[in-house]
Amino acid sequence: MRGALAGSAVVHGGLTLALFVLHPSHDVLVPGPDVVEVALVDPTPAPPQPVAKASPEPAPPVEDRGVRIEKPRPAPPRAKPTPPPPTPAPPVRTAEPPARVVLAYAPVAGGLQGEVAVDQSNFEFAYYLQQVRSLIARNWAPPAGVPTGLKVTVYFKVSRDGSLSSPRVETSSGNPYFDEAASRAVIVTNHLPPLPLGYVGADLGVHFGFEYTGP
Amino acid sequence: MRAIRTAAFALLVASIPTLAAAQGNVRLDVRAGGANRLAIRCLALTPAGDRGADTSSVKADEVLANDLENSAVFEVARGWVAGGGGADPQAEIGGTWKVSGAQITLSGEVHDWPGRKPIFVQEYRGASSEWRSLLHHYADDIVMQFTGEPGVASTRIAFIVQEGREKNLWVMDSDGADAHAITHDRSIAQSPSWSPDGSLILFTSWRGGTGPQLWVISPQQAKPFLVSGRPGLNTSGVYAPDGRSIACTLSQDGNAEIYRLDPRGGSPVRLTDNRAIDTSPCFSPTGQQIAFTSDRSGTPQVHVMDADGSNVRRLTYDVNYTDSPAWSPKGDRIAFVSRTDTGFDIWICRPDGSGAMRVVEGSSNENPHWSPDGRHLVFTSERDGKHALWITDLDGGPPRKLDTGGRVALSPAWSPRSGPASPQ
Repeated sequence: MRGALAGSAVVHGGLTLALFVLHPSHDVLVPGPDVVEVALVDPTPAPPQPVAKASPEPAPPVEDRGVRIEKPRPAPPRAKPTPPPPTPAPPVRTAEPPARVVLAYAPVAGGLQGEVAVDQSNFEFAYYLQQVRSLIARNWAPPAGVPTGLKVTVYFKVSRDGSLSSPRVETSSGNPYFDEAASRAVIVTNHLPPLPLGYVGADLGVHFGFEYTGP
Repeated sequence: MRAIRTAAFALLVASIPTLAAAQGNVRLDVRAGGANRLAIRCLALTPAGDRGADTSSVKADEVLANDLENSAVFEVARGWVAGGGGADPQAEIGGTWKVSGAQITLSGEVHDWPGRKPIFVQEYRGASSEWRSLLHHYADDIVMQFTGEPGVASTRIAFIVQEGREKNLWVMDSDGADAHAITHDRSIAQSPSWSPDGSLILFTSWRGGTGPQLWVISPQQAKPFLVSGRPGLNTSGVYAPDGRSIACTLSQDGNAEIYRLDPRGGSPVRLTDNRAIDTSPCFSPTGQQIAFTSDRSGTPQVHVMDADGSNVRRLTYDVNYTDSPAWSPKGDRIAFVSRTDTGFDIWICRPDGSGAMRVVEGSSNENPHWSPDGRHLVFTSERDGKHALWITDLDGGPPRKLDTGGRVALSPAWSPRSGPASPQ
């Protein structure tokens, strides 16, 4: 009996280990069969212009016409690991994995681009992600001398009143100065708009990607 | 070796302002350009209740759409204008406008678009005589919902109206409505400044008959009280952010110097002490520093000092002949004017003087004053012939004129926000 128990533990432990080892990337843990992609058509940033007296024309047309929500697309087939046999031991994320809402953004002034994603699959408020993008990008300044192509993701939570908590570097760029600049942009922003009424969660987890495309 | 080290250090020091300027420009660029305005669509409010609601709701539609446009946060399409749809909006703004006798109930509803999920719902009630303020509060709440900071549609602007040889103190809503005189003195009023709670206005007046004195008035009661009537000049008074002191210019000791007084005008403390003229004080939002104008270097220049008068430094060497400093509510910028061949331009820079950038030019533009959210500057300009009040949203668009009924308007001061944004 004891031997059978030990054997079972070894088998389960081995399967669990194999599960983690076989995971090629984070994406498998958080697959996206129901990903709602939100593409932002971003403006080419116009240089700031002084206000001229004799300028009856309105400001140049703004191309930031917002966010286009595309219908959920079927995810490409993925190689899934063999599902483990029923076991009480490992807390593996299995059925109904959370999908992500993703807002990609083109380079804004300062050579910043990336994407903003949220944990909840039922978050349908594209405007909110656009505001998060604008407010945080405004507070970002590139550290001097960092190479282009660096990417860092900062994760934080937004509570219903818009206050921002527990920011942390989720995926490091490998460059501490670049990571620091990204964290600073989030920390300095401090407060975001209140969450929309139609979103029922107590808070919203945001993954904010910073990618440096050069000055 | 030491020479090389010194040279390397000099090079390093020389490169610091360049780096700082480059980074600063980046941040300004992200803010500037109007590119970040959110497209929204205002739907006509649904009239309900008494007959007459139809007419008043149409006026309400326009007040609300103007407020949202003036916020500099939104690009507003008016749903009731044919072809005014513009781009696909991010949200739709609407609601019900119910008139019951002398009472109005505005039920505001903001929806996501195209999903039409609710973003914000709020009810506003008030007397029909104050119908505009319901809409201003709704607009401020919408700005809050989309930016995390309330708007400034409910604020007011104090200013000076010149009629013949008289100059009186006036107040109006920040959209230019309800302009009315506060003083009727047959005298000269100048440079108004709001108390931090928005209940009082400090101003300079010649009403005492012995030259310029500092007076204070409540816009509701319209009875002024003398704050400082010392010999010589008593001018350009401003409240400290905590309201517990006043900075002003007095010349009781011979020439114009900056003093600090208590709010009733007592206990003067002299903050500047030299043979030059020191005037136009303005507190930083923390109250720890004061920007002011001094001609100690030959021409008038904006300087900054600690609130006790120590640590005086010139603000900027990039721009010549500067005056009228105004510290932004968030403390990150100082606006000022700089003389040109034809008058003055308006500039902004960081409190350390770096990043100076011209934001308003052409004709003559004076007396810049920040809105309490730091998104706008109100100023005096002669750009259409005579002195009037204009607002720039600091996003590269042309400034807009405030309607003061064709009167000569000068010296604007934007009120602080008063009370919570949502009265219930």
